[in-house]
Amino acid sequence: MFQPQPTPYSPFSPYGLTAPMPDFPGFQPAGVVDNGGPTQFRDPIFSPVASNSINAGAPLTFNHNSNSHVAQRFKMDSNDIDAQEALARDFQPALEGPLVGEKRSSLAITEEYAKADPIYVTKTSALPQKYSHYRPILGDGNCGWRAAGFSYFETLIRLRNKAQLGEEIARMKSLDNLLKTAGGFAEWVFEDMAEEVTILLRELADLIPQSIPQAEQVLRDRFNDKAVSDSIVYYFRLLASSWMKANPASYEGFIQNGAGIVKYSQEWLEPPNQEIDHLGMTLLIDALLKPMGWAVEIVYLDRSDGSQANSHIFQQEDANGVPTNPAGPMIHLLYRPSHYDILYKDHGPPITIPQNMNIQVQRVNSLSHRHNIQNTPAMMGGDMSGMGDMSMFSCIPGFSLQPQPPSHHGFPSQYQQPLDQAFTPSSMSASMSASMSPTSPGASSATAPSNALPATFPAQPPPPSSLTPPTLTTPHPTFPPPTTQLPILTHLPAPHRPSLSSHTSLSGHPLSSELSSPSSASSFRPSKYEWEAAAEWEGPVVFQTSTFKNSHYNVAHYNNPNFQPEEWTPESEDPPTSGRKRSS
Amino acid sequence: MSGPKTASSRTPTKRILTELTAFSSAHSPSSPHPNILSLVPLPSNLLSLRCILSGHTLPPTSGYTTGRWLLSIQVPPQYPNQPPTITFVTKICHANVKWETGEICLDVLKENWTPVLGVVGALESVVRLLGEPGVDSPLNVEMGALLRQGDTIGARGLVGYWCGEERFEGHLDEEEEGGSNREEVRGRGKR
Repeated sequence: MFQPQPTPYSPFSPYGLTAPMPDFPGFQPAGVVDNGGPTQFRDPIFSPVASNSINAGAPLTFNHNSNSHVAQRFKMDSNDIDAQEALARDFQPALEGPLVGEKRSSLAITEEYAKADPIYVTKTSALPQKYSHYRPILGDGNCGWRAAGFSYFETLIRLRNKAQLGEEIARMKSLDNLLKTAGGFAEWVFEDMAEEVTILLRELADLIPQSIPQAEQVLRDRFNDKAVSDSIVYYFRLLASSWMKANPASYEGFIQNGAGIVKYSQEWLEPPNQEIDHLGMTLLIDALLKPMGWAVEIVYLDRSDGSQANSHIFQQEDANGVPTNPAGPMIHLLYRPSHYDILYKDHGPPITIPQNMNIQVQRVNSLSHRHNIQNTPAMMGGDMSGMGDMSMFSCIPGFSLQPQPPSHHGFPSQYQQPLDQAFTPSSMSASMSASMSPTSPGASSATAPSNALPATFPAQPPPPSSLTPPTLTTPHPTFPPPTTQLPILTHLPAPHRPSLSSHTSLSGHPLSSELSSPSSASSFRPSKYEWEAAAEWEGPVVFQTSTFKNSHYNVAHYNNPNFQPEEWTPESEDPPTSGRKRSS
Repeated sequence: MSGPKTASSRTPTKRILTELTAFSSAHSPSSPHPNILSLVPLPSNLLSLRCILSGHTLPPTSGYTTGRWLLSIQVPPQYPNQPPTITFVTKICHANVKWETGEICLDVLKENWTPVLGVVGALESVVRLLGEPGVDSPLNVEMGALLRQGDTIGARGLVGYWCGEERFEGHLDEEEEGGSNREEVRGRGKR
């Protein structure tokens, strides 16, 4: 067959256009071609352009040759291979659209995969239930870096904390030192790129107090300006490289083929347009996002088995693997083999509320509000109006606004008595605030079973604050501190207190004892994400009220091993529609 | 709004200036760079640079030891995210340099470019390429053929001959752009 090597160069001393001409008339039939081939076609260096020009210059010679079609075909083949190799070498995938796209519904991903492999269909149809929106990133080889970088700035906007942006500017400045010392990069290599990061941070810091949409617009504009965007992305590459060089022991083992830190950095991190690999993403998260206490969830959409895309959460953890900042903001990235996009969990159009930030704020407000009620009975009139919106909690099944006898609250009587004697509404308010202090007994008793089962976590020591008298006199300190993540969201065991049994002994009413348990503080309106978490929660759930047992908030059926949730699948929908089509 | 725009538009210029400053401070006339004898921008355009390379540190077997070449460096507006275009102005006989145009076929100047290199790093790679020609995709097919045949003596002779014939004898000074051009013309005339 056709053999490219070795190539005899001697017949064509001035190699190129003039020499091969005389050889064409003596062109051999196909059989001879197979045995070794004519010399002029054996040369792989022969550029297609040169061959074409020969062809154009010698049409007559070819036509007189009886085997011209063979030669022609052979020539075509050789050209085709050359051309294909050249095409493959220079292939640039068609890149359309902006570097960072507009946020859109993640149903678009489902539609995109509707006709793909069944595994993809299943996984992508499950995706929009968890992640409402996604933002496509251009696959130019920088997508992972750009997605993480964009999310970094976007989350800073989301948090609306100007001071934090100031801290970030300072942190970036201090990281210059890391790039110089650990990274070994000269300052002129990165100073312009670092400046772009700082400029953008400063711009956002100026805009955030005025207009969030404007800040988001600026961020999108900057990230779609190729010069700025690439500079920022490249800065992150250098940052990741420096971070790895500063902590070689943590990462060396993850480098494949034993390339070593420096070689890995040169081959995978430093070349622009080189796709980010898993180690690169880990480095970027470790260097850029983890120090801020942020978490990154990467959802892997691939053809592995399962009904949902696998996901992994990168976050700062202590020695026992417990997240140090579980309430921190989380960035979601969607990984499809060799490509990253950004995912969002929220429904609201432009601004996402990171986790339960707002819920905490409201909770703190209402607490201070109630604190006033208790301390200054004179303000009761005004506070009763505020009580109006609290009455909405009565919608929660199992929640009771009925005044309880004071002794049932577990409060020391010396505090309660004066209030009760002052005027009648105050007893109402006191009992209300007491029974309200857990704020969502229904949700908490359903999803955080630990308070109902003290024996489940016997090793966990009770938080000391819950046992001190002040926590009982005012409901305020009994609440978890605002930084505490909702137990349902984090899958952490709810703060459990064995002291509960003593509460129960104090109060005859089982519900009130549960209500007064500070651990049941939780969100008022459970979102469906919480319910998903609740589904994953492994633990027995005990219900104490008949009201709640029949409520749709009751998730006890999740504990039934035979429980099969009703699921919509496209396949199940198909037969009826096709049948309809046939009938019509 | 205007701040970032100016920042991004001045990036190549500023970076080139800092690179040049770093180069000249690291390589004073008393301790010159072994291969890069001078590197100056054109007075008219900071993003067009000229450079003189010397081959005297290269191994004698390469044949380039006596060479001295003028190169032109064009810095694209997207620099440093895109590589500079480096071409030999002085003719050089090398498997990976096109004889007619002086175009250089070197991966780090194309798909393997990294901003970490900078102009000086790119020029150093060019010098390294002189000592280690790649024969897989030669731009100069005659040289590639000689090397593939293993005719190193012939190749060295050819290289040495052209190094002597085309040797760039001029000097580069920012204010003497005309002078360097004249040298260039003289060099061509000699051929």
